Amino acid sequence: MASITLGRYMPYHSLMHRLDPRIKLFAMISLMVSIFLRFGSVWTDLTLYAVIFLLISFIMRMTNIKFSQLYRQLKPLWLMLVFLLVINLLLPNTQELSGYLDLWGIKIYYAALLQTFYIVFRLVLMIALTLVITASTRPLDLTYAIEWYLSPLKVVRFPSHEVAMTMSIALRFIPTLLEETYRIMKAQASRGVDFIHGKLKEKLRAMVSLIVPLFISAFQRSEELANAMEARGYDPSAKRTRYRELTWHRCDTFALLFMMVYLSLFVALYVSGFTLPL
Amino acid sequence: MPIKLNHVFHIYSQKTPFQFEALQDVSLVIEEKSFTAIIGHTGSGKSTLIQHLNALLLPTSGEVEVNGIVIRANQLPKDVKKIRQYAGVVFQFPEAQLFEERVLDDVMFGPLNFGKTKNEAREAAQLALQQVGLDSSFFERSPFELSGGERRRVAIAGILAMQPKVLILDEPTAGLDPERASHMMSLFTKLHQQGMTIILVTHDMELVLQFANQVIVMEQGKVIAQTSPQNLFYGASRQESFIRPPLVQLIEKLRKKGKTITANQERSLVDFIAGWKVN
Repeated sequence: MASITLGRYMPYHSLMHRLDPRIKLFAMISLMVSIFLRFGSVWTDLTLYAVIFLLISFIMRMTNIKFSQLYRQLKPLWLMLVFLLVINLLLPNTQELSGYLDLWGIKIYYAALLQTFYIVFRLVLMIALTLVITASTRPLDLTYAIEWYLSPLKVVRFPSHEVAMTMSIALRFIPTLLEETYRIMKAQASRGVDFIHGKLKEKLRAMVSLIVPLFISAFQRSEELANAMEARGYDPSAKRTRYRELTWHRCDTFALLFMMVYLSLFVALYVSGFTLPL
Repeated sequence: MPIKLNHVFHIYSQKTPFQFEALQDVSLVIEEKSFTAIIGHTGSGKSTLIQHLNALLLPTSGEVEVNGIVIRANQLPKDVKKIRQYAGVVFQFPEAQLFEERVLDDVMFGPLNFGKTKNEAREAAQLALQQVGLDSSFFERSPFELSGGERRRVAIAGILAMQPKVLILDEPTAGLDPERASHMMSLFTKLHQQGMTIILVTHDMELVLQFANQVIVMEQGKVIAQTSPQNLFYGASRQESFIRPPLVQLIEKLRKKGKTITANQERSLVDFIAGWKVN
């Protein structure tokens, strides 16, 4: 049951783990931008996708994440992928209709298949990226990084510290709530609830028996946390120091330079309307 | 039929950095109609052990036999519901599992899941609520407006209504005031006298001395002793790592002051007090 590893920090010692969370966040966003750019011809798209794929698998290798882990994250999504395929086949983008495959009188457009492939491929790469980030970065470091990016907004009185605090609390309690979920699931399973089998109505009832206690405990927990923070004199507007300071190393500079070159290359290719001569 | 564990291992998060061996080669027999206490320090594997007894957790290797049904490694048995009904588990702070709008409905939830009709379930629920000392004025109330102790009793009634033959309790008295705790324990004693097998996980050595007729001592995932409570505190398998019950401490203090108490006197005193407290 306890097989949910998405979003869980993996305590390995890799280069990715040592990188500054700020640069990791920047790298993630640049890679995502490059994933979503589309170019003039199909072959250009595919070639550049191959480049991105190689880069991301290299990063995964560096983080010690195996493809089997990625596959396990994707397994629950297969229904959505099938759904995407069906929708794309039924409603192809009418501007790009060229060739089609005739299957017993049903026209399956190559463009629709290609479109589905793009979506699935993007989704897989995005999940791979988030997997890398969350596995190699402690949630707290990640919120520090977000707070750092938001800090210029302080000029316009944006409460960047409060936002970061809220986020770090939310992240901190994901594993706690998961643990609580398993605990309640076990308690209800002891009372004969079957969360996997059974008719729809039984399943719904099983979900109610899980969700109601979970909500109650979450609300209780938040109240206790708020009280504990107040009891220790927490003031959201106070200027605070940190136990862990983010420090910038040489490898961070290298990573930053590399990602900047990478991003500007992609943007330049996109803006210039580049296509491979194929 | 006795509950048997045969070389049971349990490893959490196998093949990840979080891998943890919670049970190591545990072999046990828990006789029918016994009152067994399981003791051990936090993290010694007590909770993992009891979750094997109703197939909530499956052994990584080894076998568990409950009510004649064998639970093999990593294989959920087909008649898992039979096991869950036979061995009812009351988790720590069980009041967290309440979810219905009315107390009676919540207690009926278990029996209904095990295929009882509405009427049968209602009867079982009413009986169970009476057993835990909640009268009919509670039936229609919302569980969320009750006090903590009352909520816990509703939750325990929710397991009793399933009419299990084995009742497994994970620190049922934690967080209760002494009076409520002693009421709770006398309920379990009564159920035991009516022929129910009771398995009690506890940190309270006094409860062990008073109620149990067998103790299982766990440490770092292993069973290091299976003995009678008297032997645990006095005999050959005496364990030094547990705080002795007040009575035992008293005897030790008397000895230090120079009073001579023979081993026989000591034992009969413990037996006497233990027997006196139960009745």
